[in-house]
Amino acid sequence: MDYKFNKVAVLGTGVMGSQIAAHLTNAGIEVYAFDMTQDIAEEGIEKCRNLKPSPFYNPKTVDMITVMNYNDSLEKINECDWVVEAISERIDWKQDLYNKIMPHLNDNCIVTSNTSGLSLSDLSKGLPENFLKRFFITHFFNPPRYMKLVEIISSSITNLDMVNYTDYFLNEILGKNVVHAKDTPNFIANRIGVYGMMVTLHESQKRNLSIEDVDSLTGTLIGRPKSATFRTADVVGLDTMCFVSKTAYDKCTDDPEREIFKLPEYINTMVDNNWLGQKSKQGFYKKIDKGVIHSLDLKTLEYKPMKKKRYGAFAIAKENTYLRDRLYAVVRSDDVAGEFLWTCFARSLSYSANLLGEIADDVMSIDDAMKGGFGWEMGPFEVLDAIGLEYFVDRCKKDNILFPKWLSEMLNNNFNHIYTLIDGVKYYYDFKTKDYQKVNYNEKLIDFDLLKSNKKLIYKHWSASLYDLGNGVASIQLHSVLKPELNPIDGSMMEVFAKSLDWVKDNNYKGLVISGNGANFCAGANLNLILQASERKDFDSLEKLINAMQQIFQSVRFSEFPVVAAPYGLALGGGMEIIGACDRRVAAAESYIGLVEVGVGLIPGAGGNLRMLCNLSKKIKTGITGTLPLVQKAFETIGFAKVATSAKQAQAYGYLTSDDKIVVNRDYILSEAKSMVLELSKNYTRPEVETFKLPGSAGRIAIDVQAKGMVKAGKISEHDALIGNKLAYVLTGGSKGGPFTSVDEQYLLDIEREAFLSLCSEPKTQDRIRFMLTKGKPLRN
Amino acid sequence: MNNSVIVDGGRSPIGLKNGKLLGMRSDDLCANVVRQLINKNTAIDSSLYEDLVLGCAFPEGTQGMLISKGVAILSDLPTTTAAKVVNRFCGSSMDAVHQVSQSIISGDSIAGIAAGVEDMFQVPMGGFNPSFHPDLYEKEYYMGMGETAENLAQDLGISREDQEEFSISSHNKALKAQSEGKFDNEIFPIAFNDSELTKDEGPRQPDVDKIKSLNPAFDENGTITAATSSPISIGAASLLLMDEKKSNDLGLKAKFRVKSRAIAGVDWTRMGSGPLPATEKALSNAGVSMNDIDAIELNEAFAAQSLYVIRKGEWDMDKININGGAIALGHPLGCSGARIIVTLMNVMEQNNSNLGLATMCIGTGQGIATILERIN
Repeated sequence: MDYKFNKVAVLGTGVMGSQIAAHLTNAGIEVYAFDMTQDIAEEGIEKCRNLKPSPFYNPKTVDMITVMNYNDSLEKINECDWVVEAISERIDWKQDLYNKIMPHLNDNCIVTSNTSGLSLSDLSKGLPENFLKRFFITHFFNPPRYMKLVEIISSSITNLDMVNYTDYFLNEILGKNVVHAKDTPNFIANRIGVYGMMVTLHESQKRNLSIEDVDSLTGTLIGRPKSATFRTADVVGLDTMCFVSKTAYDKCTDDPEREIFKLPEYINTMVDNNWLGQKSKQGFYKKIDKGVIHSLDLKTLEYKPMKKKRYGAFAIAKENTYLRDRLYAVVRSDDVAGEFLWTCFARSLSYSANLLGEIADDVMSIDDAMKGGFGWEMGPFEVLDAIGLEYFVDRCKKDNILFPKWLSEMLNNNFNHIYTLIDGVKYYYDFKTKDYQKVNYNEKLIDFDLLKSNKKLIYKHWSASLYDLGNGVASIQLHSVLKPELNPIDGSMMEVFAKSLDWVKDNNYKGLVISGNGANFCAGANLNLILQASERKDFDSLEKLINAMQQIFQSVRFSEFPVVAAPYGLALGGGMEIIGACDRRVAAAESYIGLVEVGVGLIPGAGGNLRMLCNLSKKIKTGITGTLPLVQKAFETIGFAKVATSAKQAQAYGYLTSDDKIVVNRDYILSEAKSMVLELSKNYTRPEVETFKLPGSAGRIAIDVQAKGMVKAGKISEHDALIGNKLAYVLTGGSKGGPFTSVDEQYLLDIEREAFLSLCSEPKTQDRIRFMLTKGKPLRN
Repeated sequence: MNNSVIVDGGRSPIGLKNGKLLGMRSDDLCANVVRQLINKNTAIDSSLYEDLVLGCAFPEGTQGMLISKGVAILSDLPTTTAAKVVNRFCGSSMDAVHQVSQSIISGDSIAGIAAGVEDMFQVPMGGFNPSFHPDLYEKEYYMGMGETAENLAQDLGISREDQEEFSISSHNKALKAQSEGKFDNEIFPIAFNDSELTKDEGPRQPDVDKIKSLNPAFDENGTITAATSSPISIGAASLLLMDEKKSNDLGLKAKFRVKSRAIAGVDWTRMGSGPLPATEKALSNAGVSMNDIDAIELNEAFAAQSLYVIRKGEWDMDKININGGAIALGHPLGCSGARIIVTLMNVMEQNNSNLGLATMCIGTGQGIATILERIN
């Protein structure tokens, strides 16, 4: 049987329902959104439209949602191929609704519930078997656009084809990572996640650790979200937390660790006081004044100024770029923080290992669930590998922490890792067969680590490497040695770019992909370097550097083979300049692209202005009277340092073109980029050097007049206006631009470089860079 | 010498941002007004209209391609009617009235249509492809309108409070006029997108706290805010002019004679003072004095600019903009000149006035004025 979700009904327009509807429209799917009354449904979608960060890639797709109510339009469900129910967590209400929709479902329609707390067996009670065949649970995580996990819980009666199609749809069309979970309380992610939270609360109380210290220890330092423990509780709300832990306590009756789901006494007091977190303006933290936040003293229950202590873990974090190294060192550090983190990890890991088999069939399911549902950088079993299995087992024995037998068995049989890579294949330890088993990936997934173990690494350098993707396509992987999570451009990358272009040519390869596998593609240039050179007034070497970058990017552009960039996450400043130089881009839908140089008092210096003019002139070839509108659009985008909040929006801004491809599931950008290289290589001719007709001084003055007015009105600073003038100079074609002259690419690069360097010498620009480097946010001066 | 008379006039309601006229084409809107005006005056054979003179400040985009002739065709005027576009920025359609009037007086024509239109949403102020001269830039020729008004406020020390009071009064007068149906006589209803607009969208109950809380719009140390400036808008207005003798022959009983016309240039960095010299010339051309004028329509580009003219010229506040002005109603640039003449005629009839003055300032430093005499 073939299935295809063309139209989807979402029942319930609350927080989850409305956002699931929004994400369906992101994938171009038409949605009928139902609620009890038209007003409730409309209000739900309207609220969703205004959420920040937006559930929509492009706010306009809200038009793809048709708002309806059960009374007037229930029969419309007949047009839908999938019905997602996301109403309140009440079995009776849910079952009532299922009975109501049953007569209207078309034959192939799949019905799923987005419940997080109810079991499939309870939901199924008393429902006819022909309904249960098509009915299972798809559990999304909030916010559904951004959280990758969807847990599927099906039963032995469920039609397997329907489950498989839904799995495919969630993965490839909605970009989700699907984990198949068992019908046990709270499924996988919430079970482990809530336990981890509870352990952290209990263990920190035991050691009298302050709220702010726990948060700085349990956030990004250990690969968890920035909001860590207590700030997450404030965001979620303490009442919700109480509800979740109580549910866990009530339902996990056989769980030997059940007692941990009882919340510490102080939390009950806080709930009684209505200190629920963000929604009641105070929780574990309280904003006292603008920029002044106090934290709760858990003993006295008074808010006090935050005082951060020094722990060994912080020094370890500074010394170790990679998370696995940090985790390894942190659990071995011998102060109270190290011991606290070790205990939290050890108990959580043991808990996960103990539940294997009961809640999930394999370690990947648990790891994927925690990464996709809770935003952990590593899953529990990956952490176990990072800490070291032997160390873990030995110390658990010493500390009397119970762990399952299969872990010590593993060691006895000389299996030292949960995961291992052999010749390009990833294996996991299977506790049932007591042996390594192959991890089955979607064939569209290409991963640099797997390539490396398969000896596909062609050339390695500090911050970038060249790989062989097969079929005559090579790929550069960016992996900054200093900041792999941001990949700032450095000399090593430039060297690999130059070398890779030669390699592909010398080896008669068909083309090249540029990508990476960290959190972000590339967040821009190395500001430190620019600042230091500027402070030294060493503009000669700065000029050489910028010129070299321009030339390398131009040689990417004019190479004799196609080059395709595959950006994801941040692609800012220099990151945008890299992708802009390529023939095409295959962007992850969650790409945040922008030319943001103005924020640090600069303008793009490595071809960014040229790229914008190229992209926009392609976009608006017809119907335009004169060249200034194009320039004004580029000016506004760069001048206001606009960052697109999705790849779709990046197309609207002109950072991407309509020829570029957007891929919802980031895991597949490399293989899609490879396909695009192969496609382009069929009849590839390198691009012609572009020439531009630009408005010259007459248009530049028009822009300057506006900037002057904005300074007068206090909307921008004098320095903003100066940067604006330089930017306008470049975009309008410098001294050569005009109605009867054309300027070429090299001229634009030359005036861009000149403008960039002159801004580097401005003290206020240097102040901006310094501020950004120390405070991490732009300075308005 | 012949005399020119205004047989009749009318206008569209003025639409604001997010309003009901948004998206309507300028040519459609203007043709709609012209057609309703012609149809209201069936006693006149439309082959008498020799020319349609249309004022428009930014005649490009939907307002391009000699929009006047397009409007003539869309309003079902005969092919024998010629058409031209007049551009004198904010004074465009008052100038259109002047040109038709002058043509009649000189004996070149018997009757004609003057009109004005502007859609400030689809055609931005400044046009689509501005191109500026460096020397003029140096001479501050391109100074923003708000800044020129700030200069006037500074020259006479016109306070923010006074400007706000003036603006609030403009809204209150317009609201009162609306509720008493005083605009009904001059507005043609416009149907667009399944709805019909019969009233100006601008006038509203002033929210004093909000007004006081606004930041200055053009100069962070200045006095002018969005509340004391005329809003961006869309509108069209039109008048029928004829030789007085011909109108008498046809028994039309025209009610207004164009008594005098004048224009004047001023310092462009203080463009809002334009009405003062223009009015002086118009009074002198008409051989009357300011005391003889019973009703004044002074286009309210900015409250500061209006107050400058009123204080400097020692004009009688009670005679000015009886039914409210552009701060409340909107100032669709090329439409406004014809619009204030239509409103002036209406006000003069309602108040049984004899002599009326319509005058306005013009970006780039000009003023324009018209004096009407009521025919009894």
